[in-house]
Amino acid sequence: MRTKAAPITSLPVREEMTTKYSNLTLESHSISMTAMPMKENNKGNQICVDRGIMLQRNVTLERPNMPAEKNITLERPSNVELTCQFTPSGNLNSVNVTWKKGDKLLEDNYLVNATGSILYTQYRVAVINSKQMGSYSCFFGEKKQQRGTFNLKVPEINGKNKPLITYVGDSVVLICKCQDCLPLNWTWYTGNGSVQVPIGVPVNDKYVISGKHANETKLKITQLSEDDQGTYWCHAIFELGESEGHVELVVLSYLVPLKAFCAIAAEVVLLVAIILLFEKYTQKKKKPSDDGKEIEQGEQLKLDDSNGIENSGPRHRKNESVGQ
Amino acid sequence: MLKRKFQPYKKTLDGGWGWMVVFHFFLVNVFVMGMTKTFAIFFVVFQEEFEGTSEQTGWIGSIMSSLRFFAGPLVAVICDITGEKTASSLGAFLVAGGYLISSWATSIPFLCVTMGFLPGLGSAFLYQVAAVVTTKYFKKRLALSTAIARSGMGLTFLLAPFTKVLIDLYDWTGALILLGAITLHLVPSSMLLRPIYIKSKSNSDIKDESSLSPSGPEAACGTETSCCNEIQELAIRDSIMHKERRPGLAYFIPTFHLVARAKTLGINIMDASYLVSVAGITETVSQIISGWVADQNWIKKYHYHKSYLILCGVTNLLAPLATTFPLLMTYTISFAVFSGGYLALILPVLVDLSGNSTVHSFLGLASFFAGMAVLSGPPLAGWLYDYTQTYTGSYYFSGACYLLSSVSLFFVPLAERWKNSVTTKREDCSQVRA
Repeated sequence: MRTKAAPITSLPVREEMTTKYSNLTLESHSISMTAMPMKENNKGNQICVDRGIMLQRNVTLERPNMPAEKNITLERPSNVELTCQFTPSGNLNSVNVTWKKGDKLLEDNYLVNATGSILYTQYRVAVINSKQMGSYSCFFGEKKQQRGTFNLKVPEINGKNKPLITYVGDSVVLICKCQDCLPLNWTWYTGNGSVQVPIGVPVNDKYVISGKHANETKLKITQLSEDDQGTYWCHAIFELGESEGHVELVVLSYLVPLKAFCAIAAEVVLLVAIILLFEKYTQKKKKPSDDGKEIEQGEQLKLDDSNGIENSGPRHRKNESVGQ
Repeated sequence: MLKRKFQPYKKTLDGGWGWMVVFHFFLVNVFVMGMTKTFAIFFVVFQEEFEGTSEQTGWIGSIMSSLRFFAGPLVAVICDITGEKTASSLGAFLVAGGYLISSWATSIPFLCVTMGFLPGLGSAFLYQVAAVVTTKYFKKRLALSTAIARSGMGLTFLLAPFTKVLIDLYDWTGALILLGAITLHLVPSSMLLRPIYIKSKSNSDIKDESSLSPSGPEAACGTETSCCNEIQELAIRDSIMHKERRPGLAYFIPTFHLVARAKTLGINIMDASYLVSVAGITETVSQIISGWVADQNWIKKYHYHKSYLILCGVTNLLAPLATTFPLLMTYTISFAVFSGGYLALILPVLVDLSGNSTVHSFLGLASFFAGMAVLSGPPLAGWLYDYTQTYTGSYYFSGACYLLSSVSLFFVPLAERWKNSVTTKREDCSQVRA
C-alpha cells in the first residue's frame, strides 16, 4: 500500500518479510535534508536522528538541491533500514514522497511519518543477494525535488597502487587485502586489456594461491619472465556480490640496472685514470728539483706541534714530547 | 717509515691542496651520513621483503652506525700499515662492495653482515682517514675547514628522495647496485688525499707523519718516570674520551625524540618535519660560523667547546618547558645552534689536546667511546620513555650528560700544568744523563 504525506503515525509493514529474515542483523542509516531558501553560502550540517542501532553520520549540504549521498558497505545478508528526514519550507502535506531503486520506482516497503515540521520516510529491505544491492533514493517532491541516495556496496579490496618491480627469474607474491571483511572465496585473473583470464585453473607450479587469513589472498608466481608482465586482478566473492582489486607487475631484465651500473663504474674508472695521470704529470715536473730538497731534510724547521698546549710549555726534545 | 718521495712542506698549508682534502671529507660526510638516512627507507623495504620484526631489521642499521665508530682503533692501525690513500680507498671499496653484495641478500642475518658490517667498517675507514688528513693540512683554519666539510650532512636530505626514486624504478636490488656504484666515486676522491710531510724539529730520523709513534715517551729517566708519564697521558686521554662519549650520548636523544615529542604535544607531522629541516639547516650554518669564530683564536678553542656544551645542557634541561609549537621551534633552533657549535669543534679540540702524530690513535679511541654512546643512546632513551611515559625524562638526561661532559673540559688546564711539570722533570733528567 502506498501512502501520501499525511499525519499518520504508522503503517502496517509487510509482516512476512521481517519474520522470514528476522535472524539477520539490522542496519540503519539515515540522511536528512532541508529545503532552505536560496542562499549562496548555505552549509547545513544536520545531525541525523537515528532510531536504529548502527551507524550515524552527518551529511553536509553545500547548497540546497545538492543530492545528499551515503555509501553503505555490506558484507553479509542483513535487514537494512534507510531513513530520510526532510524539513520542508512550506506545508508538510504538500510534499510528495517517493522511493526509487536505480531508476525503478518502488511501490511498497516504506512508510512516511511527520513530527512537528519534519517529515520522515523509512524504507526497509532485506538484502540477501546481489540483486538487492545498488542505489536507493528517496525523493521529496516540493518546489524543487530533494533527493537522498544510499549506495549499497560490497567492501572494497586493496591491491597495490604502485607497480611491483621484479626481475626475470625471480618469484613474486601479489597480495590483495580487505580491511574488515571476510570474503567467502578469492579468485585471481590476469588481465589482457579488458579480457580477464583466470589463473590457477589448471593447478601448476608456477601459480600458487594461498592466504593466511581470510581477509587476504596471496598469489605467488615463480620463474618470472617478461611475458608475465601486466595487470593481475583479485576477486573477492561475497554472498552479496563480487569485489575486485588489481596489482600491476613489471618484469625487468637484469641488464637494465646492470647497464646503469657499468656506466657509473666506467665513469669512476675514468676519474681515477685522470687523477693518476695528473699526479704522474705533476711528479715528472717536480722530479728535477727533488734532489736539491733532500739535503734540507735534516734541517731544523718550524715546530709543527705548536698547538695550544705545547706553546705554553718549555721547548724540549721532540722525541720525548708527548705530542709526537 | 718513508714510503714515497714527496715534497716536504715547511709548515701546514692551511689552504691550497688542503681544499681538495676538504672536498673529499665533504663527500665522505654526504655519503656516510646519507647511508644512515637512506637506511630508514630500506628498513621498510627489508622488513616487508624478508618479513622480519622491527627489532631484527633495526639491528642492521645499528651495526652500521655503531661500527663506524667502534672500528676507530682498527683504522688507526691499518692506516699505519698501508697509508692513508690506500686505507680510504679500501673503505670506499668496502662500502660499495657491501651494497653490491646486499643486492643478492636472502635473509636478514645476511644483510646484517653485508649491509651492516661491511659498510660500517668502510665508513669508519673513510671518515677517520679523511678527518686525520684534514688535521694535517689545516692548522689555523682547522675548525672552519672541518665545519665546511661537515656541512655535507646538510646535503643528505637529497639522498632520501633519490633513493626512493631508485627503488620505484629498479626495486631494492637494483637500487642497492646503483647506490654501490655511486659510492664508488669515493675511490677517486680518496686519491686526492696526498700525503703531506711536515718536517719537525730535532729529529735525526725523519718520521712519517702518518705513522703511529709509540705513545709513551722513550724511557729517559728510568722505568719509574716513564711509568708515571704513561699514566699521566692516559689521564689526559681519558678526560678527552669521556668528553667525547657523553655529548655523543646526549646528541642522539633529543634528535631522536624531537618528532615523537612534537606528536605527543599534538603538533601534526608536517609541522614536525618542518622542525627537523629547520634544525638541520640551522645546525649546518652554525657549524660554519662556529668554525670560523674558533679559528680566529681569540680564546682557546676548548673554551668555546666548553661553553657550547654548557649551553646545550641548559637548553635541554629547559626543553620540557616547550609545550607549544613556537616554543618547540625556539628550543629546536637554539639546540641546533649550540650543537652545531660544538660539533664543529670536536675535531679541532681533539687535535689541540693531542698533538699531531697521535691524532689517529686519539681519534680512534674517541670514536670507540662515541660508538658506545651511539649503541647505547637510542635504546637508553627508549627505555627512559617507557619507564617515565613522557619524553621530558630523556631531555633531562641529555642535558645532564652535556653538563657532565663540559665538566671534564674544566680539568684541561690542570692536566696541562701536570704534563708540563712532568716534561720539565724529564728534561732535567735527560740533561743530567747527558
